[in-house]
Amino acid sequence: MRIPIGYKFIIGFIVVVAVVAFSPNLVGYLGYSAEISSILGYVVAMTTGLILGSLFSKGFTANIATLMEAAGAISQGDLTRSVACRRSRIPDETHELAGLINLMLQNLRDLVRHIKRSSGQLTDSSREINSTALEINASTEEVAQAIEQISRGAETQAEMVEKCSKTIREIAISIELVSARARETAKTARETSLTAQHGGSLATDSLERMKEFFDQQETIGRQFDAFNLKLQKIGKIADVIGDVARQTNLLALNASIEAARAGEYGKGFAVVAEEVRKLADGSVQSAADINDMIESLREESRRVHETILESSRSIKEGKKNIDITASAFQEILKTVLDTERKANSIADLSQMQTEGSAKMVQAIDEIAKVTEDNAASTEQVSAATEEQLAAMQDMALATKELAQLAEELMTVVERFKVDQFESL
Amino acid sequence: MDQPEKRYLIFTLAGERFALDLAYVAEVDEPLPAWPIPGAPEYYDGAINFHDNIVAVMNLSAFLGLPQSDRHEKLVVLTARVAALAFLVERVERIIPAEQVIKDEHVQQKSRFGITNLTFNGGSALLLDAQGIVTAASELIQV
Repeated sequence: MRIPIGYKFIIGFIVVVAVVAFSPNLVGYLGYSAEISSILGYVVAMTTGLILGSLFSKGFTANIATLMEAAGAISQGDLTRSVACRRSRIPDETHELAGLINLMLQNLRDLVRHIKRSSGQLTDSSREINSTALEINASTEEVAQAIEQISRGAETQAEMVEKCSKTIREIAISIELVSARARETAKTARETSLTAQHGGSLATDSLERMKEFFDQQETIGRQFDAFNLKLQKIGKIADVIGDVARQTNLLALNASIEAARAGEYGKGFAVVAEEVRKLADGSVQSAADINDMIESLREESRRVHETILESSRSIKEGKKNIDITASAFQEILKTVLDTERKANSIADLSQMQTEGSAKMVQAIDEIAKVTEDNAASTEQVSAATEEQLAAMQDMALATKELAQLAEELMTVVERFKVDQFESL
Repeated sequence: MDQPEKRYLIFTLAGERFALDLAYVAEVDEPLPAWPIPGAPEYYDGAINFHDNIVAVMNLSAFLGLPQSDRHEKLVVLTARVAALAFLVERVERIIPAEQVIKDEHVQQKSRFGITNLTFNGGSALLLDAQGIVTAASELIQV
């Protein structure tokens, strides 16, 4: 049964008053004189009242002292001890207060523990954040360096692209020149092929003429044979004439001898015979001349024939050469046609290359543009990285401060003692 | 006998001109196939059938001891009244009348059978003694 402390005091007072009121009567029963009894009655009443009052007040205020002690300990930061009131069958406000203080203590413990834990975690976290921020800082610096390198690289790249573009333009010009040269070569090859065809037909014509010559040479050979045969016949006739003339000469000679033998009568005959002999001599001489001439003609014709044969041999050699020349012209023609085809192919390829190089120039221009954009972007990234670096440095500073604050909080919270077992 | 005008037969031996009195000459002919005469001196070429008479053929240049020549174009047959003998000569040039000839007897003769040197229009020739040659030949045969 709960009785408020006020009521407890009232009941105690009533009890004291009752004891004081009834004590003189009780003393009178002892038999003492009235006077003594009245004095004794006062004394007893006062003593009893004091004792009871003291007991009651002690009993009533004992819990308050415990509470005060607990409050003092709490104020000193000692949260380890709970408030322990004496158990009473009649609890009052002190008990409730003790319960409330215990609850408060518990809550404070939880709070302190929580704060301690949180501030620890905060310290750790802020340290981690700090180190992370430092790492990020370092990384950001690396990134900044890398970006600077990229920026420099982008500049170099832009230069290279410029050079590349120039080179490709030059190549494009060279390719156009090659194309023109290839066209010229093809044209020249065509002209050469015409010349080679002309040469080939001339060689063939020469061969035809040579064939005709050989045919004619055969005819000439036959004619020579016939001529020689005729010469031989003439020679024979001349021989016959010579023979006849010799015989005549001999006859004339013998006629002269006979005439000489006939003496005066043979004189005229001797003159005739001498004339005949002279004529026969002339005939012999003429026949000999004819034979000489035939011999010389034969010799001449033999030489002419040999010359013709020699020429024929030379011409045969020439024919061989012309054959080779004709086949060489054929080869040249083939090669030249091949050359023309290849030159045309080169020209076509060069045309394709020209187109390709134009596209390449375009692509390189685009690359140059992209490179410029990249350079600009890199500068932006560089600026952003610098800002980031500054922000990170600020953050590192802030986390440092945060860690300091957490440590300060920890120091403050450290004043509150809590049980070690429950600290975690 | 009526003496006709003298004539000479001009011929060559080893490239030199010789002459014979035409009175000793019967005929001039082409060389005929000759039959060898056994035991005859080497300047005899052989024997021929001349108009059914056997006539000895003498290589005159060999007999006279002149340089030999293979080119014997003519055969000069002597008259039968001198001897049955024919001379192989190189070439017979002509018959020349005595009036066209100048005799030069003082000129040194190249052969022992030479009588005189005959000079005529166009050259000169050594006139041979046909009778002397025949005599010498027959003497040699008899030896």
